[in-house]
Amino acid sequence: MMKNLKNRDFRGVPRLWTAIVLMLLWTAAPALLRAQNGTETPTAVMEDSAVPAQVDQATPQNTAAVAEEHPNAGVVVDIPLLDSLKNFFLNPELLGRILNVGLTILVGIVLISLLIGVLKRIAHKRLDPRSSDLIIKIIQWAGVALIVINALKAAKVDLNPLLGAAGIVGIALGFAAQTSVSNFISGFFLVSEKAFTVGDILTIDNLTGVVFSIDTLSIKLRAFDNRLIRIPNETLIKANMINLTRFPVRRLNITLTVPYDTDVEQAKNLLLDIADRHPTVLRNPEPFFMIQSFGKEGVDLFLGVWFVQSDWEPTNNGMFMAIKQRFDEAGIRFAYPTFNLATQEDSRSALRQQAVSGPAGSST
Amino acid sequence: MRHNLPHNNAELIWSTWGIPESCGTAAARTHRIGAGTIRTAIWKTGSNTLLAISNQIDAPTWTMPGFPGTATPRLCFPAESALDEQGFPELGGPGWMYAWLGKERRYALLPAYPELPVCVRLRHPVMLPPMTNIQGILASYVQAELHIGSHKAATLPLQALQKTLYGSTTSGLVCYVVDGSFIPDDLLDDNGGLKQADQDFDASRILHPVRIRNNTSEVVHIQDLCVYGSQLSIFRKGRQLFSEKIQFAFGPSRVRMSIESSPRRSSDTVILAEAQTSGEDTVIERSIEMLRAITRM
Repeated sequence: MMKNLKNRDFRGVPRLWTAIVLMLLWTAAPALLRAQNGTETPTAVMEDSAVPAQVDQATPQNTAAVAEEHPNAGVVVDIPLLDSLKNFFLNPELLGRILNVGLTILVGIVLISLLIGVLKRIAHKRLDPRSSDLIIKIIQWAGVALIVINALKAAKVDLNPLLGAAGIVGIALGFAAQTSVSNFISGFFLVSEKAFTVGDILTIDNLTGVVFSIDTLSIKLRAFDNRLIRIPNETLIKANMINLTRFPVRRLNITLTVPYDTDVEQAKNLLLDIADRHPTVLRNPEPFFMIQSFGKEGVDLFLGVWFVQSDWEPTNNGMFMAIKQRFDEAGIRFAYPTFNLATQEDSRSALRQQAVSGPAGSST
Repeated sequence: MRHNLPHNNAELIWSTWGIPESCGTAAARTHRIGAGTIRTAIWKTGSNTLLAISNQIDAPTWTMPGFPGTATPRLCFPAESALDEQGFPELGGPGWMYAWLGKERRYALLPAYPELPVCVRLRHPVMLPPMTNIQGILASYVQAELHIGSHKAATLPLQALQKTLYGSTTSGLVCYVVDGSFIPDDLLDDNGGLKQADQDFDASRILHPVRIRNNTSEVVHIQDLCVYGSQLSIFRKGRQLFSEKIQFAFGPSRVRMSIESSPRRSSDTVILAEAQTSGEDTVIERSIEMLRAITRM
């Protein structure tokens, strides 16, 4: 059952069992010491390093002699291990406490896993994967914290010094884990913004990919060439992000330049006709045509056509192929950078020609 | 043996067919339905008998080179494929789908609504005064489903339908679009059928008797009507396919489609396909989708 619980609901908390074992040891350690005290045999305390080695093998008979010989030394008593263990396990108060701790942990795990199971079912149905995963993780961690606190209480451990120590450790950890904490908090802001979800296509700082997973500290994108890109939440919250699939439809923006001698009206009609006949171009919103500017090489034209997100590839390729084909058929050329080069020799010949024939317009 | 069937006879086409008698392309059967042509043939691989299915849609007059009038991308024929005199590739080529027949020796062709709602764009927008209603008929298209035994083997579009967006670019609904007109009441006979001859209708076209109700206090101009096929059944009466009577109620904030009445059952009315979802299911589903679109949850 434990294995099952771990696999199902505590996947995100791999340190749970380590924490429990540590807690048990922590609970048991002082009890063990007290049990040893309970034998009414004085505990050996070495106060003087000059105690000879044979003291280790001291018996009650020679203890007095040793004490006489080394007045500053503590009394060394040998307790057989078996007796110590026997005393430890036969202490009813201690056994009760261990049982209490175990029961608290067990009940806590069962309750939290039940709660998480129910939450998972509800959250996966009603919420997007990002929010549901985050909520479940928060509940998991809160549950673990509750279990630990309850177990410590059951072990009758005084929590006040622990909380004090936790505060100091918290400050130290805070300094050490600034980046992680920043990423964690950024994650909350990103969740509250709801700007994207798993499966959306994002462009962040020239990186484009499908949102593969959204985690506490980072998001992972799967690039189109199947690379995994990890972007920390802190970076994401600062960066300009484009969500390409936020809405059901999108516009394909086509810009092209035709030479100045082109019949622009004909080019416009042709472009709108291509858009109208393309099978994946939406009828509504209607295609949009615009003359952008008179550029260096020719007239800059713009055509915007709307398509359903899933039809991106056929729309993009189909439109460009069709424009090329139809423009070729109609004899419309695409403008490209053109330069007129005049060499020095050309200039001299022109001048010579002018000198022979006389200035333009002159008559003899 | 080749069968070239009349394309406007729903009574003949939407029924059960025996498999072609012999193997190969030459023995293929051709079903002509609307603008679509479905071919079936027998293909033997070892001891297995497969039903080969191919589908083509008439290239619309506007179709450009590079966009063959095939139904779906997976059915596109490569340029180097050998085509027979009817423009179909040879059996065994990539233009065919193959379905395991088992012991079945028959297949059924059944009409079904497209997976997206169909938005009928009226050629002549209708102006409707406040608190009035008008009745008429809209036409949209069905696609074909080929069933072997109780299993659906293929879905075959019969028209090259374009898509459109119904609503805003941030939360609109993607639909197929067809151009149509709202046929006034006086063209209908007593049984709700058209008085005109049915030669205008082919077996891929379905008629929807509709009532449009303006529940607002303003005049509405009706340009588009969106038909949710998943809520409707398909009936056949004689050669025509038709659905339940639909009501479009224009309210202050939205347009609601609901079923007003089902056709009267008679001996010559056959039900070919049942509605897949109820109106209530769709309303709930749409509400959740809308909520999710707004909240992104």
